[in-house]
Amino acid sequence: MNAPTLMALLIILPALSAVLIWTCAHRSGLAWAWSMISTTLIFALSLVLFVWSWRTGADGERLINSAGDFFHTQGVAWVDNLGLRFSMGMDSITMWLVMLTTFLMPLVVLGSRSAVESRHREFFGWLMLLQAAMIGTFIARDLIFFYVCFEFTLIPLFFLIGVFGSTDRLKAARVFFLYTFTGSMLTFAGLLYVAWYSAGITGSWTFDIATLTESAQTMSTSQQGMVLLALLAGFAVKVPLFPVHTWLPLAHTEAPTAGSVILAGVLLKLGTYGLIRFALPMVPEAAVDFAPYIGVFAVIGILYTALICWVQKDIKKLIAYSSVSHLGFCVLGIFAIAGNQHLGQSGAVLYMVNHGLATGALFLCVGMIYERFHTREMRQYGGIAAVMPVWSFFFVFFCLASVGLPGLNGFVGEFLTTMGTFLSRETLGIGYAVAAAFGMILGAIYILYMVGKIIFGPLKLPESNGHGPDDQHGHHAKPRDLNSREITTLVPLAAACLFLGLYPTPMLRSLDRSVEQLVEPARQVLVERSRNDEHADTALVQIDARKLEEGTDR
Amino acid sequence: MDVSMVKWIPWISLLSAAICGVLCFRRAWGVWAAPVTITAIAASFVVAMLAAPSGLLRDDDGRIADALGKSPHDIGQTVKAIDWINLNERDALMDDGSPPATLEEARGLADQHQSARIIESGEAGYSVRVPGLSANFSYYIDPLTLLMLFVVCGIGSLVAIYGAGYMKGDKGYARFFAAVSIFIFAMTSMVMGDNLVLLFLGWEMVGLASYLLIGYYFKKPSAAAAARKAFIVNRIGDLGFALGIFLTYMRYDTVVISEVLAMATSPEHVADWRDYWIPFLLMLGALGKSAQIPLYVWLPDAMEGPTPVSALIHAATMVTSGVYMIARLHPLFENSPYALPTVATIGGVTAFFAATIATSQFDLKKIYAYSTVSQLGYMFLGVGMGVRYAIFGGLFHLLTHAFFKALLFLTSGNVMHGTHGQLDIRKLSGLRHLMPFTCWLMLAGCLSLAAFPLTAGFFSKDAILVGVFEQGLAETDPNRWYVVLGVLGLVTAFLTPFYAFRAWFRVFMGPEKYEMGTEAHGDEEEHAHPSGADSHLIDEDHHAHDDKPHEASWLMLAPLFVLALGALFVGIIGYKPVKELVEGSTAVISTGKESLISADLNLTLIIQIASGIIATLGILTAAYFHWLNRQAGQNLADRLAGPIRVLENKYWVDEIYDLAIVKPLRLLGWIFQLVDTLLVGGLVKLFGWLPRLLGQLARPSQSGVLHGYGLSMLAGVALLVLLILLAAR
Repeated sequence: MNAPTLMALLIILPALSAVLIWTCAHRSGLAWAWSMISTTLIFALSLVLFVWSWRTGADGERLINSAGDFFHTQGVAWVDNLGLRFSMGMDSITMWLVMLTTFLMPLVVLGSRSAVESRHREFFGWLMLLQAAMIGTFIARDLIFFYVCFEFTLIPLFFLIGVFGSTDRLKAARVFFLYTFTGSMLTFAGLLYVAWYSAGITGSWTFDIATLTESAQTMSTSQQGMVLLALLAGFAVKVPLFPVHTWLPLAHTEAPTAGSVILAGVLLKLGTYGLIRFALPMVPEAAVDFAPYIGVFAVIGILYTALICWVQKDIKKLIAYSSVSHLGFCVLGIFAIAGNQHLGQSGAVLYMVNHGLATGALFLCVGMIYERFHTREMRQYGGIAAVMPVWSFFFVFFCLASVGLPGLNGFVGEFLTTMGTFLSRETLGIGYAVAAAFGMILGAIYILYMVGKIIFGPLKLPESNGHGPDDQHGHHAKPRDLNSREITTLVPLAAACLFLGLYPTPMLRSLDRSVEQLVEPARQVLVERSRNDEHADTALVQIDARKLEEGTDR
Repeated sequence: MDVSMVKWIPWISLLSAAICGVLCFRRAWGVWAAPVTITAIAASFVVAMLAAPSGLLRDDDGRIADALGKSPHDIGQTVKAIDWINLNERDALMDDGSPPATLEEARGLADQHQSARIIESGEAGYSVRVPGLSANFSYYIDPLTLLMLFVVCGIGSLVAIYGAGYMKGDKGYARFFAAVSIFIFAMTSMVMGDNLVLLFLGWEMVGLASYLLIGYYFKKPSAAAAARKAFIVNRIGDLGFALGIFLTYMRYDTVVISEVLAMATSPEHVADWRDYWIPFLLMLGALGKSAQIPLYVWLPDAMEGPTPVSALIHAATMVTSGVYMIARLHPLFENSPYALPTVATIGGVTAFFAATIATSQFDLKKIYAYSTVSQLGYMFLGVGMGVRYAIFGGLFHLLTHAFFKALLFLTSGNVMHGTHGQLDIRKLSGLRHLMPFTCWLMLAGCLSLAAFPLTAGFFSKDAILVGVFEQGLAETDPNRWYVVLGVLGLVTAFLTPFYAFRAWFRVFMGPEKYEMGTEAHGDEEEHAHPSGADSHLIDEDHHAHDDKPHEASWLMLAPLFVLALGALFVGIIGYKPVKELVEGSTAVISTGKESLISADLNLTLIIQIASGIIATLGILTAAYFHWLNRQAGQNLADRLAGPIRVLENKYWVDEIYDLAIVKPLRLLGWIFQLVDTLLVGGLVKLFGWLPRLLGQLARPSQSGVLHGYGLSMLAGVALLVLLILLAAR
């Protein structure tokens, strides 16, 4: 089996298992078992690709050294006369994000064993389809293919929230759908414009992302600006960037645990992925010009949502808002374009993966106590550590990963993005980094505030409202701590957080060349400009000198 | 033992932390946590003492070579364990962001960087490859590291032994030792780290350990609040530290300490605005961790943690990390004209300020907590000087303070243990017969804290003050401000024995009288039950058995004797070796050897006599008011009711911070929350309403949700067309 087949399988297998689950899995356990097997299999497949890319390549190349796509296939033709193809590719950025997705999915399925009470087929079917769409988005190398997958992620999540969510689910689903859909329509317009422009200069239609990127760079500054705005309309909503983040808290609170985990873990990264894959290399001039403004929004988002987190009463809402705050760092890192380094962008990719692991895990933890007590209200909890020490351990662990404690994974991304921002004097610079760093303090404040309320203090448990298995003994009964299934769900995540916190070097090095390649056009813009400035300066000096001479002559 | 063995030191403790973590699962396994941790710390101590000295630079007669003018690469050794953040090589670029075009340009560029190499790359010209950001688990061993390892692992082992007795029977026994192990991992990583980022890792992780241990009795709301406060206040400092690291990297293109120091002390180095600010940012971190004004407020609250923790983390080791950091990066501080004076001023003022609060507290541990803040102020005063003797004094005081303050905390732990958590000195009196060993051990600690002649504290504190006056009275270019700071130091030297002996005379002298506390062994967890009635019953039961203060077990007393010996004699024994260590470390690579004052002024003798008299006076004052004539003390207190109220309330600093910072921020949070909710609500309404409106216009006969999608799609297409038109223009 070769790499292109494996890549195709990563999309086809989950789609296929979705169909199978819908049509065949009539018994409730079967749907779960099936999706468990299929997600594990997909993880195994992606692991094969991963190890493969790490060890050997076509001509002895390794992922860690390769700049562009390590695996690449033209795929099969789709619409021939428009140049549409199912082309796929994986560079190291894609590789890590696909790994994140395939790693999270089995854990999500495992964690959802007892989350839904009915309509199992639909639930797991949509989950599988969602996985196919997410992986498709990352590995597509054809613009339309990318966009179709990108948009298709909305539908499964729409149903996951709308059908399996909590009380306000319909509103949440509708807001989520309309918000992101409207935004991405504009993005689509921008991308189509790029294709149209490219067709104009090359003479034939193509939707190959690499080709489009190259020809898009020749657009004029104002054209680039319009395209960047269009791209931002969709991607910024997805990230979500302040002030278009308001759909997220609602969607997160209402979504079932699995939905929240995937939303925070992977779907938000589609936005940042889009920014780094399209915005930076396609419209470098606009990216450089707009970076200071985007940076302002990112910084406002970091601080504004961090303060909001502090006054939340709902655990899930707090974590949802914290995602907005965290992804502000990510966006800041992406637009921290500097002439001599790309720490910000490397850090941003790292941040995407790390945030996916830590926040995904936090949502799983919240889901676990929600299943026991049926409430997410913080003030109903207190001193849980006394009765659920294992859960408390994991919760505190992932909280610490999330606030960026050095030694756990969150730190590396946060440190590098902020450092990249600090050093990028051409675009962002010290002021942005100082402001963002205040977000690190606020991050600690709200997370510890939550931990203090739930874990510390005198024991306080919510009165069960008549659904859980605990309440036949009344609410005084000691709630059961995590069972082995739940521990199995969290341990791999904790291990990944610890590993990436203590040994991120291989990942950073593998990202280096790919990120460098994406940033290169923007860097060139900076070089050009500083040369022009220099010329202007020397010209000015010459003029001054001439004036001076004229003065002395007279 | 080869010096490369030191790379195992932090990881031994991490392993121990993992084992203790596993032992948490069964209460029966918990008893093994103490032996595991003690073994790990003791092993670290042995490795450190055997391996590290072999890596030091020595002169011909075997003594540690003086560091003046030497490169940090020579006086210490770097030992790498594993990669942490180690980026690829990158291209160095010219100032305008372009690659060098000619060989000359490439050479010039290469000279500006450490270990750069020039590659000829065909038609593209030349490229200069320089190392990327590298911050690894890599350790730098110089005499200062050795000194710190001695303190951390040495005192750490003693406190862990004490803790094995103190925490006995506690439900969270294994959890306690797991956190202590994490602490030792972090602290050793910090003092050994060869780069600023690893230093930062240790810096934050000691904060984590401190958080976990202050919040150890997590059911107590006050403990939970104190833990949170400690972490957050420290984070404010850490913000400065992180920014300081960024600026250092911007300036020196590396975060490896020895390389930074080598560049900062090289004769060609010209300081610019970044050198001006780096120390101030780093200092912010030091102020947080070492509890100095304005970030000292967390330390007194941190006394909510178990007493061994107060002794180890909040007195002997963690809180000194700011002092360590300033000493380690001293040349960077010297490059900024106002950095060291600021450090010294903050230190001197904090020393005095905290001492005044300590004189009027009634909680034994709180007194020692403020005393710690005050003594840390002395250390800052010492390392904030540009003269060798003061830097030595600051670091020597770090060592002696570790001994006597750990001793004081642990003996007060004995008191707490013996009286079921009673720490109020108004409710304890004359315990000398009931707790004889504790009584005399604490006396040793108090004498050393009071800097009574010939005790350890006497030598180290005098070294600081001599250094301060040396700079203040320097023959050339004297700075009178340092004289003021020195006098402030002498005034504090009077307050110190007063508050130390006030507590001791109250608790151990006078008529035998006591009120027992309500906690068993300082721990409510032992009989924690959800309902109050149960615990009340058990309390009564407990009291019936032993309602008298009792002496601590031998397991707890044994380490105290070692500490007491240290508190009394480390000044005499340690003076020479520590001076040798400090003068061979990076702290003094750019600090001259010659004295600033004329040789016929015997400053040391004058200061020693003066401070000896001051210490004795302080003790006598305390003895009169708090032992011999307590009524007089009471009368005096009544007459000074106003000022004492200010001191008892700690100048209301906590309240001011709450009102000025916490409350407004939280209010802002509420406002933003409101805005955000309105924004959501408004937008939802808009989305429901806008399509309907448009729908009415377009197709008045239909309504419903579905065509909302269609319409927004339509709107999108319209915008698309508009966009294309605009962009194509």
